[in-house]
Amino acid sequence: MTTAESHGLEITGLTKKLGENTVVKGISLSVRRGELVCLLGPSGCGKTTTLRMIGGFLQPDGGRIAIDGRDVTELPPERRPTAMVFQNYALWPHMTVYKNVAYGLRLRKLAKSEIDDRVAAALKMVNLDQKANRHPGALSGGEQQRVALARAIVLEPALLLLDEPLSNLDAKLRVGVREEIREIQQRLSITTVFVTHDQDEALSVADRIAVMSSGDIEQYSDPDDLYRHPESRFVAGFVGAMNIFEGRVTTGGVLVGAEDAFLPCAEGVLSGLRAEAGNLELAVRLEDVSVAPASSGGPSGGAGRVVRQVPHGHFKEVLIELGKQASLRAYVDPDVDLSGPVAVTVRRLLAYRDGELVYSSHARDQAGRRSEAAAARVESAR
Amino acid sequence: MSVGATVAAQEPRITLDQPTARVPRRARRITWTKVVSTIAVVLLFVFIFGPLVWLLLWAFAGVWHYPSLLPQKWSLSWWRQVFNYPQLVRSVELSFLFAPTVTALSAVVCLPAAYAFARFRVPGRRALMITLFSVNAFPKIGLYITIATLFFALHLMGTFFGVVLIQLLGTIVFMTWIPTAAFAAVPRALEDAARDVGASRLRTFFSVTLPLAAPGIFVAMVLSFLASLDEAQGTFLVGIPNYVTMPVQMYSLVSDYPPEAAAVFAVLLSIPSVILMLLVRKHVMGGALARGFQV
Amino acid sequence: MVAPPVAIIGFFVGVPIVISVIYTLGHVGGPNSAVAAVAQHQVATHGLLTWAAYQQVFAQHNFRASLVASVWVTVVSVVIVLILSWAIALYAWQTNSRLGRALSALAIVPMFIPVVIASYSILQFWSYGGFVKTIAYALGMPNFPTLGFSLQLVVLGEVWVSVPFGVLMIASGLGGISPSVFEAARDAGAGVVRATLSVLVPMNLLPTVIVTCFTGISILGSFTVPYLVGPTAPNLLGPEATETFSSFNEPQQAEVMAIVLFGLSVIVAVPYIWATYRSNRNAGVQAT
Repeated sequence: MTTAESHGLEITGLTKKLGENTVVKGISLSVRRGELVCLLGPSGCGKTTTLRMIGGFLQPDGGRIAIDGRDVTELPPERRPTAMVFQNYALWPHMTVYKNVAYGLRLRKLAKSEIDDRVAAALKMVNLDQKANRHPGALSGGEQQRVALARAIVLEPALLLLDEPLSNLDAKLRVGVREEIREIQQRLSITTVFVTHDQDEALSVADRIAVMSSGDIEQYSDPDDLYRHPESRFVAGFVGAMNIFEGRVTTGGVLVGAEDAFLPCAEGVLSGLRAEAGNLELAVRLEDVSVAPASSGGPSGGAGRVVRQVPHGHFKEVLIELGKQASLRAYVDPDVDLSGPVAVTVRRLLAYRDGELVYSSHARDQAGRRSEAAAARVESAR
Repeated sequence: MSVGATVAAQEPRITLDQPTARVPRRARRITWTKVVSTIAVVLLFVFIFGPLVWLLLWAFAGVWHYPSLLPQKWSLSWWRQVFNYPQLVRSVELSFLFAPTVTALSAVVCLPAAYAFARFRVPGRRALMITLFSVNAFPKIGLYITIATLFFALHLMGTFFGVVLIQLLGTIVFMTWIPTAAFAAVPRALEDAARDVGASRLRTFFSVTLPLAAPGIFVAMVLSFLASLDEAQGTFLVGIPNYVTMPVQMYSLVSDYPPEAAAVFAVLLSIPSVILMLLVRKHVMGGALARGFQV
Repeated sequence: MVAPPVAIIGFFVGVPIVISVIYTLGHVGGPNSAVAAVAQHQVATHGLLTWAAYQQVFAQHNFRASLVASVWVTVVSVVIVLILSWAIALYAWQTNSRLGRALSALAIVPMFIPVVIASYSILQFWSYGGFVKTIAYALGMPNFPTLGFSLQLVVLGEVWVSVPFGVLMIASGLGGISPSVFEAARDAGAGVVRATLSVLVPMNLLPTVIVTCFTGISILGSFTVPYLVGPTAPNLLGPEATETFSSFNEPQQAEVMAIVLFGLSVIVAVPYIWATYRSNRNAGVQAT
C-alpha cells in the first residue's frame, strides 16, 4: 500500500484567514480509509472552519486537501466526493423525507428503480422507512437528524462529514444516536470526520481524535492515549475530568497551592522527577487519587476533609479540601464512610511546563504511539 | 379492557359534579372589559366591512331610497347595462392585459436584484433600496408632469409600452423589498446541503432557494398585480385615449353615472382582488410582507 | 443584477425629479420647454435660478390652507392607525385566540381592495343616504351629521386604507417577542398598560417607526382618497397639485407643491432611516 492510497483524507498546511484573524493555522491531518476521526475543541477553535473547507464551502488561503489520494482543493462542493450532515440538519422543508434523500441521486441521473432501492435501504438503515412521505417539519429532532444522515450516506461518499450532528438533541437521545452513527459508519466503513465540542462524544465514537485550540491541532491520537497522555496543558484540561495544580516536587510527594499543602504520591510515581524541576503544572485524573479514612493507617500528611459528595451509582465523586487553599476531586467507592478526616495518595501524575508535557508517571501502552517530540521533552526534564 | 371500562363509567359523574360545586359564580359574570372589547370588535367590523357590504347592496339595488336600511327593490338590470356597454367591457379586458404584463416584467427586472441584495455584498445596498422606495414617496402628480415630457420625447405617450412602464414604476418597491427578505430568509445551510450532494449553483437556486422563497415572491407578485390593477393617475395621463383601464373608467363612472352602475363596476373590479387575497392571505399573515420592510 | 431596477428608477424617477426641481426654480428651457410652452402664470428666468415660483405658491391662501390640511390629516390618521394597529396586534398576540386571529385577518382585507373602490364605497357609506345616516335615523337622530366630502372622512378613508400595513408590521414584530418578557414585567408589578409601554413598545420600536413613517409618507402624497371623498378646498396637496396642473394649467405651481410634499416626506422618513441604521448596527454587534 502506498501512502496516497491508504489515506482517505490528507490535509496539508491548511490555512484560513477571516478578516484579520487566522482561524486555521496551517494544520495537517491524515485520516486512514474507513477511520472515524473527531475534530474536538471549544467553540472558535477552527474545527468547523476546517470541516467546511474539506466540504468545499470555504476556500482555504493555503494548503491542500486530498480525498482518496485525489487533490480536491480547487473543486466546488458539488464535485467533491463528500457528504455532510449539517449542524441544524439543513433538511429541505419543502421536500418529503424521501425526496430529501433521493435528491442527490436524482442529480446523478440514476434510474428511478435504483433510486427507490437505495433510498429505501438508506432509510431502513436509520429506521425511518415508515416515514418516507412525511415532511421534515413533522419529524422529531432525532428523526430529522437521522434523515440528514441517510441523505448523506445514500450517496456512498468517499468521505462523510459530520458538523456537530448531535448538538441539537437532548442528552439521553444524544448517547443513542451517537452509537447509531458509529455503528452505521463501521458497517459501511466510510472515512468520516466528526466535529464536536463534547469530549465525551469524541472519546466514545472516534478511532482517533484531533484536539484543536485556536486554529492549531494540539494533539492527534487515539482516545485512550489522548486520555492517558494529554500532550499539552490545554488537552489535559479539556479532555476528561482532571485535577490541575500549580506545585513543585518534594520528597515523597508534591507541594501544591499557595500554602504548599503536601500531597503524597505513591511509590515510583515521582521516580523520574526531581525537586530541581522547579514549579510545574501537575495534572492528576480523578480515578488516580486514592482516598481512605485517615484512621486506617495511611501515610501521614495529605490529610483532608471531604466537603462535597456527588453520587454516580457505582462510584462517587468527592471534593476534598487540603488545608484552606487547595482542594482536589476524586472518584471513590460509594460504600466507604468518608465522614471523618481522610488521607489521599496520588497514584499517577502528569507534569507540564509552559503548557507542554514534561513528565508522565506511567508509560504509554504501546511504545510505538509515543511521539518523538514528547519523548525528547520527557528526557530533557529528567 | 376492564380498566378502561371503569374509567369511562366514572367520568360522567366527575363532569357532572364540577360546574355546580367548583366553578365560582364570578367567572361567569360578564366583565366590563369583555363588553368594551366586544363593542370594539363590532365597531371595527362595521368600519372595515360596512362600506364594502353597502356597495354590494347598491350593486343589486333596483330602487333604494333613504332612509330604508335595505333596497326597496332588488334588480340585476345594472349588471346587464354594464356588460352591454362595450367601453366598460373593453376596460376590463385592458386591465387584465396590463396587470399580468406589468407583473411579469417587474419580476424579470427586480427578482435578480432582490437575489443580489439578499446574497451578495452589494455596496450601498441600503441606500439603493431606499432610492427604489423614493418613487413612492414623491407625489405622483409631480412626477407625472415631467415623466409626460420625457414620454413625449420618447414617443411613449398613448402607447401600450408607455402604460406598462408607468405602471411598472409603482411595482418596483414591492418586487425588490419583499423578495429580498424572502431570499435572505432561506438559510444558507440548505443551499450548502444541496451543493454538497452534487447540485450546481443554478440547480441549487431552482430546487432549493426559489421554492423556499416562493411565498414571499408570490406575495410580491400579487401586490404588483393589484398595484397595476389599481393604478389610475399615471395610466390616465399616458394611456388616454387609447388605453382606458378599469380604475380610469371608474373615475368617470363615479361622476357621470348613478351609484348603482358605479357599484356594479366596483364589485367587478374587486373580484380579482378578493380571489388573489384568498390565495395569498396565509403568506401575508405569515409575515412574508412584514419581513420585506425590515431587511 | 441590481442594475435594471435601479436604472429604471433612476431614469424614469430620478431624472424627472431633477428636471422638475430646476423647472420650479425658473428654468424653462431644455427638457422643460414642452411643458413651459403651454403653461400659465409661469415664472421664467434666463439668468440664475429664482425662488419666485415658490414665493408665488406660498402666497396663495388656498395652498397654505391645503398644506395645513395635509399635515393635519396625516398626523391624525397616523395616530389613529398606530393605536388601532397596536390594539389589534396586541389583542391577537396576548389572547392568541381564534377571535384575535380573525380580527387581524379582518384588518388585512383593505389591502386587497383597490383604493378607487375603497374610497367610493367609504363615501357612499358615510355620506347622506349612507349606512351611518340611515342607522342614526333609525335610532331617532335624523339630524346626525354626515361626513361626505369632509377632511374627517379623508381621515377615515386614509385609516381604512392604511390599517392593514400597520397591523401586519406590528403583529409580525410582536410575533418575535417571547410572551415571557411581558409576563416578567407583569410579575415585577407592572400593569398591562405599563408593561406594554415599558417593555413591548421599546422592543417593537422598529416596526412602529416603519408604520409611522411609511403610513405618513403615503398619506401625505395620497391622491385617490382625498380626491374622491374630500372637500373641494382646502383638500390635501395631492389633489390640489393635480387640480393646479389639469384644471388651472399651471404645471410649474403644481411641481412646486409636489416638491414641497416631497420635502415633507423626506422629513417623515428621517426616523425610519435612523431606526434601521440603529437596528443594523445592533445586529452587526451581535453577529461578531
